[in-house]
Amino acid sequence: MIENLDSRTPKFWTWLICILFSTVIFSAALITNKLRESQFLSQLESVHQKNLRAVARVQVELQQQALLTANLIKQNQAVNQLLVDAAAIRSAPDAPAQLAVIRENLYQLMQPYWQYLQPQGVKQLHFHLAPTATTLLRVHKPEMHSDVLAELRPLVMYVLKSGQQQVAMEVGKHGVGLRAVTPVFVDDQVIGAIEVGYGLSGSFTAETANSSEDSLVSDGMSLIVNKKQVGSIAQNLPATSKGSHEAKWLTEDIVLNQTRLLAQIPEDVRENQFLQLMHQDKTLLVTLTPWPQFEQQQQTAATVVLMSWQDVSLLYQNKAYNDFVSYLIWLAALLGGVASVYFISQKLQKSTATAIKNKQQDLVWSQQKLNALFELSPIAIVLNRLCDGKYLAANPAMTELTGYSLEQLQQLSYWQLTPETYAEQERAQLQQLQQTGRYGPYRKHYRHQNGELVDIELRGVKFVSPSGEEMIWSMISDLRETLKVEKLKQDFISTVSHELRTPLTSVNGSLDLLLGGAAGELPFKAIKLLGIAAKNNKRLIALVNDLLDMEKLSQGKLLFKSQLINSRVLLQNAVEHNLPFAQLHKVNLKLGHVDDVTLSVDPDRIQQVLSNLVSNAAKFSPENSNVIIHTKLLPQWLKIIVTDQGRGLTAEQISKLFHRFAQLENSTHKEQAGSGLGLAISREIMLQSDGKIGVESELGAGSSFWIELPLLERQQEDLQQKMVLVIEDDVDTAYTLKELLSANGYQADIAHHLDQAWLLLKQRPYDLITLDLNLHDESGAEFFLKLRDTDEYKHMPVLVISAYIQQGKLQLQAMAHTLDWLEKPVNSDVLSSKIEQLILRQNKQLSAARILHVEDDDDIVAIMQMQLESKFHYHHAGSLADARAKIRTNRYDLILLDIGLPDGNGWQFIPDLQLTHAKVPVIIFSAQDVSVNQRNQATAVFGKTKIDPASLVEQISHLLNVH
Amino acid sequence: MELQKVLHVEDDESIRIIVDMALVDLSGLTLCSCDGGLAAIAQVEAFSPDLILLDAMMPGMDGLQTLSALQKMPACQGIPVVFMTARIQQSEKQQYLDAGAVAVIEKPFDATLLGDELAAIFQRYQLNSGSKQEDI
Repeated sequence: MIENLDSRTPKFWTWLICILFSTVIFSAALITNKLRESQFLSQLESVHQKNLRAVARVQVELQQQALLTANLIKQNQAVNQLLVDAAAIRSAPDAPAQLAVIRENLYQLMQPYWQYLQPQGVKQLHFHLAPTATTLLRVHKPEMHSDVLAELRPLVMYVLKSGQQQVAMEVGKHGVGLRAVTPVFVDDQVIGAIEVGYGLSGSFTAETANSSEDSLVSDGMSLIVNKKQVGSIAQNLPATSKGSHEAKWLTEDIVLNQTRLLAQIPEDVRENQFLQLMHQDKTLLVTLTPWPQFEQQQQTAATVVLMSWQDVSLLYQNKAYNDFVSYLIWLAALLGGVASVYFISQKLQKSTATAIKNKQQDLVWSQQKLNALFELSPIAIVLNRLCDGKYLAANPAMTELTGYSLEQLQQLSYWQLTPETYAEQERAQLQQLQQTGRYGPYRKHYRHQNGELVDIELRGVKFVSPSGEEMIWSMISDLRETLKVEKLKQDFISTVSHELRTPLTSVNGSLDLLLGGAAGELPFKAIKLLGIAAKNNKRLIALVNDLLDMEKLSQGKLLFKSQLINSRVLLQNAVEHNLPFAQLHKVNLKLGHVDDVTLSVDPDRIQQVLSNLVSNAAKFSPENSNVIIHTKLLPQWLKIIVTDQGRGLTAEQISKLFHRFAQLENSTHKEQAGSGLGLAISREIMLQSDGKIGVESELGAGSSFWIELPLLERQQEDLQQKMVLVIEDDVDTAYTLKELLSANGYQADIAHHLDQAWLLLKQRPYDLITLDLNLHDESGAEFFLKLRDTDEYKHMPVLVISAYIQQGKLQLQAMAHTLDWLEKPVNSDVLSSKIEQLILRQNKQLSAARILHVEDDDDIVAIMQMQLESKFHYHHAGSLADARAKIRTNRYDLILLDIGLPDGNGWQFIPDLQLTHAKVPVIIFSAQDVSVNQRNQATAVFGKTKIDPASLVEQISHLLNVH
Repeated sequence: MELQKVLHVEDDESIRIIVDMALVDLSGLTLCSCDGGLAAIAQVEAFSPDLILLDAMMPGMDGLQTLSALQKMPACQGIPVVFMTARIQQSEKQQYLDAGAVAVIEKPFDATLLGDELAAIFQRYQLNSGSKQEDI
């Protein structure tokens, strides 16, 4: 289910890859196409260059040939002589006749040449005379001569003037030709020139040897003439008759004449260029090379153009083929891309659809599973809205628990099912829920539909719905059965304890009586055997007791009644209780160093632990060895240590020691072994007393079992420096006292007179005052009495330090508590111990029990106050109304009640106590008669005249466990 | 006044015999043993004991029921009742005291000391209520 949540990501990647793939294919195809295109163009260019080279070659060959021909003729001496002669006589009066002779001779001389040159394409062979280019002879037309060409023939004139031979294209009225003119010199003087004219038509056609009538050869070369440029002379061009009239270009080329190829050539050709022309089925690459005339401007449109062509059909076919292939690849790529995108998207859709389907199935399945659990759960599960506690969902277990149907529950909020007494607790749980997101487990009641209260235990968790609403899921356990089982178990323990103890009682009683001589003197052996029976029976009883203790401890059922007790008292009691047992085992049980502190513990339970430790020590110690109980004061604990000189323990033994039934193996004291539960019980007791237990031991070197009990917070503070106010008028004594106090860890302030003392008392809290009774002008006793009258300092411990104790004691007789005496000169140790004791007493006093005495007789109040004040907090109420007001706002530990009161009968007060002081002992102290029924309402009843106040205080102390 | 007559209510015969030996033979008291609450109610007026020793758990009428019944009888007014129980739960002990018992003796008890213990309880009871009786 969770994997499918990520399906979006692969889908996205697949899409991206598809797009990239398609782009790459398209780009590759495009680049390939571009490359092929440029390759094709360069191929065309190379054909064009080839054409150009061919044309240039032919052009140069022709020009050289023409010049060669002219110079060949010039090399003939006879010809040369004739020209010299002609030049010489040109201006003579009889020149025409002589020139005619020379012309005739020259003509005859040229005949062999002419015969040879004509087939070579030579159309003209002229001889010109300087300086005006007077025609001496036209070999192909001897009858035409003596015309002056100076105006008409710039080429000839250029040669005659410059003396440099020249070859150039010329368009004349006789057609287009290549003319080579070479000068003839006499003594570096140009006298004439020889001109050879090649007709160009057909010269190029010769290159296209295999031309046929109808088809163009695959490559060829031809000369074309711009019809417009040549104008009227076009008529004289020999080939024009064959050209179609609409052609812009004229040519003598048979093949070209027949085609429409010329029509496709633009009129204006100014420079080398090539064209791709279609002819019949072929594609031709046609290179056009202008052949400029002599002195013709480069920029003007060419009259004569050399046209060279190559059949590039194959190239085009290849290109077309390649293009086709390229397009095909392109198309294929496109199709492939589209197809792959399509298929991938289909597949993705399908897989997404599958994923969604699976997810939905998982969800449905998960929901079914959870729903089944929800429905089947024996534990009630409910969904509540946090804001108002309204039930949104509940399982059948909830219906069973509360008696409400789901529909009914949905109309209710849990506040309606919770008794009002839980409002406070409920708010605390809600606060916990807001802070930690969880609440519980905690126990409360639900009100069943039928009004019954149902014991339940709740726990829950907060969560936020998608719509942002805060909800609570709660699980509610029905505790009725659990509590019933607990009750059953308790009853069972109670019954077993009874059932086991009853026969044990009989056995025990019988044995005791027998051994006690109830059946008369018994034989020695019988006593011995009965002793064994009695001892083992006691073990059995101890075991039953331990088992029950253990059971109650582990259930948390053993009540711990914590009270304040002095550590020394506690340990003295422990020694006292265990002394007989120690003597039995012939060991010396002694107290070692003991720190005097007040502990808040259940003395019975701690006594149980100490007895266990001491009896263990006694059992496992050799005769005449010492078992010492001592203490050690730690920062927050009082460590009580029971040290013996026994065999000691191994680490392994120690590790098992505090477990149930952990009697040591190989014990040589089998007959002394207890239940094996002693230390386990001790550990439990210490756990529940917030204390610790442990042992330090070494094999053969004895053991030290210890417990640590927490010191009262006040005592922990006491470990810090206590403040003492020294009231002493003698400066030397005051400083001596201060030094003594500092040496003992106290901080002291000195007041030399009483005003200063009051001032200091107001400035800072003191733990104790030392007071000199005999001050100069003032009375220390009066100060003390005033101090006691002030509520704030009523219980302030005061140590009277005086040289005249007896006199002082008389003065302050009735104020014994939190007051002690110390005679001058002061001994440091005594001072310290007195101060400690005073502060300890003060602490005790503060934590002393509170007694409410309801009494209207002021004398009795005065007497009882005097008697009780030293041990307890004494409070007095003079009437029923006063008493009722006091119990509403105060907490008392004991009520001392008179019956005859001004506003009613004391018995009327007892029901009032039920609400706030139900368990508080009530002692009737009255002169009135008391019936048995009335007596049962009180803890104890004493007649006013029949019991003396001291005995009453003793009874009260007994009731309040104060000794 | 010394303790002389004790009414013992106990369903277990063995314990009845032991208590009998302990109180009569060892302590020299006068004893009336009853095997249940009904017998005690029947005997109490005639026997007029100084102290009633009452077992807490008995079939039929248990200790508390017996106590309640005895408290209603005029003949029993002022006679201290001591419970004897094998249940050592503190709450139960308190329950008996609350119901009016002056003391609770736990089983198993020390038979040789039972007489002394009862005498001490009786003496203490007298100390507290004796003054009251004189008041009347």
